[in-house]
Amino acid sequence: MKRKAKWSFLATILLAFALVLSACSSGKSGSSKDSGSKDAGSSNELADKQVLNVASNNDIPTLDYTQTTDTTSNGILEQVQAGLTRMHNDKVQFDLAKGEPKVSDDKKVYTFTLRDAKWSDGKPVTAQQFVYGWQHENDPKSKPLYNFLFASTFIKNAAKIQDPKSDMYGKVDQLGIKAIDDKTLQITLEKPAPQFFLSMLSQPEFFPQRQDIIEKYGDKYGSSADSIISDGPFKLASWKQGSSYSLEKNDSYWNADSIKVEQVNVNIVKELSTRVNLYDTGKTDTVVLSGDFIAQEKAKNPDEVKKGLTSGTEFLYINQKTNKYLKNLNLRKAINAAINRKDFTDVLLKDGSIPSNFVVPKDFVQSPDGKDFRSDNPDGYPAGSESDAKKFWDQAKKELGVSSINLTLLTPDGDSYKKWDEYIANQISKNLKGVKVTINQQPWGNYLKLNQSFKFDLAFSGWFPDYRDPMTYLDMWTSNNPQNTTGWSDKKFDSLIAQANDQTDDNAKRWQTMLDAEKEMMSQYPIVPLFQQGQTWVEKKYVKGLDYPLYGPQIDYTGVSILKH
Amino acid sequence: MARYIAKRIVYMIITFLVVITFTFLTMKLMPGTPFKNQNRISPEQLAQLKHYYGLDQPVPIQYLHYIGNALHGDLGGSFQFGMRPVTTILAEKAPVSFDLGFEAVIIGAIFGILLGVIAGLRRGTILDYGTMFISVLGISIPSFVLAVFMQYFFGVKWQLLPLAYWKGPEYHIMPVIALAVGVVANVARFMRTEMVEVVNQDYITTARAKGISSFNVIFKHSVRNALIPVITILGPLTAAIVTGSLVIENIFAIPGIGSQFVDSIVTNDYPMIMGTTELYSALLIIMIFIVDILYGVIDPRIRLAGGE
Repeated sequence: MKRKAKWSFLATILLAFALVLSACSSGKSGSSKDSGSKDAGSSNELADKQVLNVASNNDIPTLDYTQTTDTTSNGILEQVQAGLTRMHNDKVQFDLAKGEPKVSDDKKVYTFTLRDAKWSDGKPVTAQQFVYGWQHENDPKSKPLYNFLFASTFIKNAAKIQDPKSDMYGKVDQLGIKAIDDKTLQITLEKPAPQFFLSMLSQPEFFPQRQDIIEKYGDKYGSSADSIISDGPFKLASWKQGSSYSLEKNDSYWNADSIKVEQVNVNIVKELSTRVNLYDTGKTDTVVLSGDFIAQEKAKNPDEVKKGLTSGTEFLYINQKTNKYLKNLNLRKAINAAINRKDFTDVLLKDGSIPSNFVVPKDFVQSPDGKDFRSDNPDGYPAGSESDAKKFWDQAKKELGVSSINLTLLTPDGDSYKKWDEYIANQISKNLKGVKVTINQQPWGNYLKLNQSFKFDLAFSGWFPDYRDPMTYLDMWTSNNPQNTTGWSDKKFDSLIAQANDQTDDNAKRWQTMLDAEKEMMSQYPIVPLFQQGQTWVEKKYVKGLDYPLYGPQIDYTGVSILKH
Repeated sequence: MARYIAKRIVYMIITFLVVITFTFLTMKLMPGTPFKNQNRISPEQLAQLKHYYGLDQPVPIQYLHYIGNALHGDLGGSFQFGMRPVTTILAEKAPVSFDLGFEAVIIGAIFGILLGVIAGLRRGTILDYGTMFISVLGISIPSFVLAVFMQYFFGVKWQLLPLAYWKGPEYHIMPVIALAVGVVANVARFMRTEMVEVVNQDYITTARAKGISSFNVIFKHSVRNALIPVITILGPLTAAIVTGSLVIENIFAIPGIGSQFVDSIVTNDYPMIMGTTELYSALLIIMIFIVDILYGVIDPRIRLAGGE
């Protein structure tokens, strides 16, 4: 045993030596490459071959639109298929709809005229295909996973059709959609259409579908490149699960002239270091970065590193249902003020994430007159300083009659969570003398179970939007919502959310109500907002127009062009 | 012999059934559901989904259903991949892992045996110390460290070999070497110890005294006898390498089954957990069987039907 240990020690030294050597030389080769690619960036002429190569961590789980729950699958569907509208450059554009719909006076009936669009097999896109697509998505027999979006959008009867206890359960012919003729589609809502109605129509759940194809492939629909048909900007040319897929420009798309890139090849590479190596050797044109690779690429290719925000928010649940101490507002305020978010994002994450002391993220959604939801307080509500934390904690101690408390911090599994948890636990114990935080990391399934059964004090969580509206971040905090696992119940907040849901006829008023609701929530601290996720990636200088939007497809290839290089 | 094999096959089937049953029952103890968005849908909708997939039935009923379907070759659909049949996914991905694993084991075994024989025969010389040094290095350095190093030097710096993917023979070189080094090291050490023991046996002295050529003494008399313990470790080693190449597959972006051993458990993808476990246990059971048969071929003294 002893002998082996000695050998491995020697081996470690040798390895370390080799590492130092390789680190020295990599610095050199990096800088020489830099000067080479600068010349390439100066020309604006398009390359002969419009091909984009991508290395991604994410495979496509499925392209059956009733079964998709993840951003990758939905993102690809939004590239190969089309809806009435399309999100591009953070704006809603009319896609299969030929311009603005006709809207009834009560704003409950929308009539769309369709363009002369075709599927890739030459058949026309018709209004009946929309009706089939919507009905199939809401048919319990399709076992849909995300059809609650129809109820969130107030599509007529959607909520009842989805409710197993209702008489209307599964009666999809009662859904508020009708084909007047081949090219005219009428959508009926239960309330005046909410502001996000048109952007929602860009989601795959709302796309037209081909009954003949879905029935032909049955269970296998959407599981291979040939079992799915395209009416969008791209076609799925190949798809080897777990390995690669490629998109090809779809010449039969009605707006094909606007698409420059001819082919997008995506290789599935699970290991980030391998993706970065592929990028550094020119085998791939773009890679999303995290951790230490951000600094490494910034040093090597400073002009190729890009940064942006995502619509993901991270926060801590505070359980005030079963932990009586956490019912105390001053204690919640103390915990909130104890965590230095700026160091969290700038020192720990360094990926473009920003500190948040808000519920609805920045740059995600704008009011009817074009103002960002965060424009009045871009950095969020004041979180307080270390001394504020101490002050709140002293008050809480007095009110509760205790001098120390123990809290558990429940979080999902994962390497990044490990660092985050330790930071949070350390900040709380450091700034609130007498508070001890124990970390409890659990696999996702168990995390959810413990969270939903209130077996935690603080729980790390994140939220991505279901639709482009502040409500997707707000209505989950009402008293009886299953997602509100804090036990917080606030009558004023509940009534503001109910009011906003009834104000869809006056979007400006509804907007103000939602601002008030967030303000009410942020005065009570049922949660500790932590940060809004950022994203850092590298892209070669000859790639133009690649977009990672805050809402819409995960990656938008429709604006991409490749310069001569 | 035929009777022995028949008996062994019955035992193999029983072992396999025990493994499946145990896996099924423990798997059902895991908290959570296979529905990734279970925290977004209403409890009623979740109950409805569970009902559709039969997950609301008592576990013994679910188990009988599963066995019934499995006997017809239906292992169910994978929840992670839109209910794509598990058999299709295994048929696509497992061969890649098998290729990689078997190549590594075969190459590793050949080089390991060679090195072990040399070291054993030249005990105490620089050749012996040299091979044992390499072998200790091989055991101490984890395969993924070696993989990352090779990828950096051969793939990035000198660009001699493709640094990722699985498209042609040249793509096999680095991952196979990364996995094979551990096999070489293990086999070489075993082989050396056995060789040292065997060459000191009386029958080797007798063989030499009879004037048999040293080639024949080494290969017919020494190596053959020294192989037995090596064969014993090769069985489980093959099963472990073929299915345990997860990290190497990730580093070289090889579309194998490795990651599913972990992913399926983390996502509560029940049919996939069963599928990968069945694959692994079948492989291990069959490898142990082959090893037992090989014993008799290599050493006729081991009579398989013995004891009756």
